[in-house]
Amino acid sequence: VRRSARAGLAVCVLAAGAGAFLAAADALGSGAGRSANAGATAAVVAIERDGLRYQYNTLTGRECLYDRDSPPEERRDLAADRPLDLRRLRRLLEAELGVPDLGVLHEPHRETADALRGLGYL
Amino acid sequence: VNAGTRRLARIAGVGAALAVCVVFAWRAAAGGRPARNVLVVVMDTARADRCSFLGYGRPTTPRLEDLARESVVFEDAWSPGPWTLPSHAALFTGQEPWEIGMAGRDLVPLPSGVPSLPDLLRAAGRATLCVTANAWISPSTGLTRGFDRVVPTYRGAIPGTASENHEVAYRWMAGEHAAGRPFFAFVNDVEPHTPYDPPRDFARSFLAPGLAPGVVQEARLVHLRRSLVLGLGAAPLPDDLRRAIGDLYDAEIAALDDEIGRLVERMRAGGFLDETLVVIVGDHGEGLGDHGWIEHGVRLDRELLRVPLLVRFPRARDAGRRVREVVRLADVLGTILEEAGADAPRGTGATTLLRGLGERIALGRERAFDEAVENAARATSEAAAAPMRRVRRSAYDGRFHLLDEEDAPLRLFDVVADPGETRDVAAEHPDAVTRLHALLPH
Repeated sequence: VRRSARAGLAVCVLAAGAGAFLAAADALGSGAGRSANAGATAAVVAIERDGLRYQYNTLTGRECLYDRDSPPEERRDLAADRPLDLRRLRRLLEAELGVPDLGVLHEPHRETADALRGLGYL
Repeated sequence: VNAGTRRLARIAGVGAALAVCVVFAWRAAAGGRPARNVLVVVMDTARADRCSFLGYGRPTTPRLEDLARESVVFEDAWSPGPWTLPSHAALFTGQEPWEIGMAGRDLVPLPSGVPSLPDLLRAAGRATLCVTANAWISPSTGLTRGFDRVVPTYRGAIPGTASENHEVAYRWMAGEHAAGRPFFAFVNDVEPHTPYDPPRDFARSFLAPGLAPGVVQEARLVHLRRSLVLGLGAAPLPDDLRRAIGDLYDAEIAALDDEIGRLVERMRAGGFLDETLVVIVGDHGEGLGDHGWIEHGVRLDRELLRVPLLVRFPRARDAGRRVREVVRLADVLGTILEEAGADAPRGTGATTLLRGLGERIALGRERAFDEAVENAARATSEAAAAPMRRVRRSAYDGRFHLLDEEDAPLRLFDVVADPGETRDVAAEHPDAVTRLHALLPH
């Protein structure tokens, strides 16, 4: 867990791996799949401000907005109800992480996410 | 001082020699040389009670029945969670998923500081391969860490097949064997997982005559159309659809069984089966309408946690043994490390499948991850999805299964008398409730 804080701003990276996703042609000669031997792990990145928690899941590419102080069992996604807050916190998180768009964090996991959708997840 | 030092050195020397002798004697008693190779095949989403080698009435696993005669069968093996990520976490680390933060509402990958099975076997000199049809076993989740080579056989939303998986695994294993390199191969097969779409011959063998084609088609596509609704029990599951789902699921198990049998026979013909520890294991089960809902991921009922587990030890040691006591997926790691002569990291791998039998409590804990809850709420209603927000915990001692759901009364099932968990007996056995409740994970 990495935490950094500014006045009124906290970023939590719940889990993140290092290294680039490497995909290579199947070296086994079976023609039955690709071979990958390293890659970044996914993460839930979040920012909290003004009583709200914005979080972005780099595996699924989905963003959620919560009332930070609501108990976990009552936590509801407010993204559809508060689009301005959603966009504001997303931009803050992008700035904090130094990325132009959070979508770049999802890119290494896009294939995984597509495959999980095929199994009925996400 | 010199005499004292010499005496201490002598004692230390004798002690060390004794320790080595004990290790060797224990190894010898345990069956001799360490296993040169290890193969783990996960039957993803396979329920123990739908496998004929564990007593199911339909012939779903004839190949595994044959393999069971030269293996040790664990008849009451339990997973700590109802889906792939936590169950593989236990399998790979020898720890319960909540001990390493992988049973919560956030999707947390395998923590980098936690040693896992491929790490440990690679450190013990094995070449390592992961072949996976399930994307939860991917670099994104950290579960492929430690493998020299990872071969995903899924393509986009199309899951890989056991046939593809086993072809890749066999060719690699045969190559390593020919090169004189000991290996660890891990394979995840998803046939029993949705979509329920078995090969035609198997479907024909298992589908009940008289099922309307439309119903069978609905069952095949249920994961696309209605699984979130039916999976929450938010709509009634018609009897004919339930039957079709169950029949197709059985056919999927049978198709996978056939592929596993072929793989084992190829290893035998290739001359390296006897020097390989073979573990065939399920990661979690599946709801098939038993309690009014389908699929998996949220609840902790018995059909979701009891999994098939069969271990063929090198040279078919202990062939035909049936273990009736409770064992856990977390016990598999210690067993593999011990058989492979690999070191277990401190604090993990302390238990094995064959030690401490009769003393084990299988625990479970789950809370659906946020995205699944939000998806379910969108597809159904907030009220229908609300139960997914609750923490669920369970404890099982071989007879009683205690289910604890946040904001709901404790329920206790006597699975010996009531394997389908249809009758809550908490009021009749308060001592069992108290005893198991004290053991629930926090």
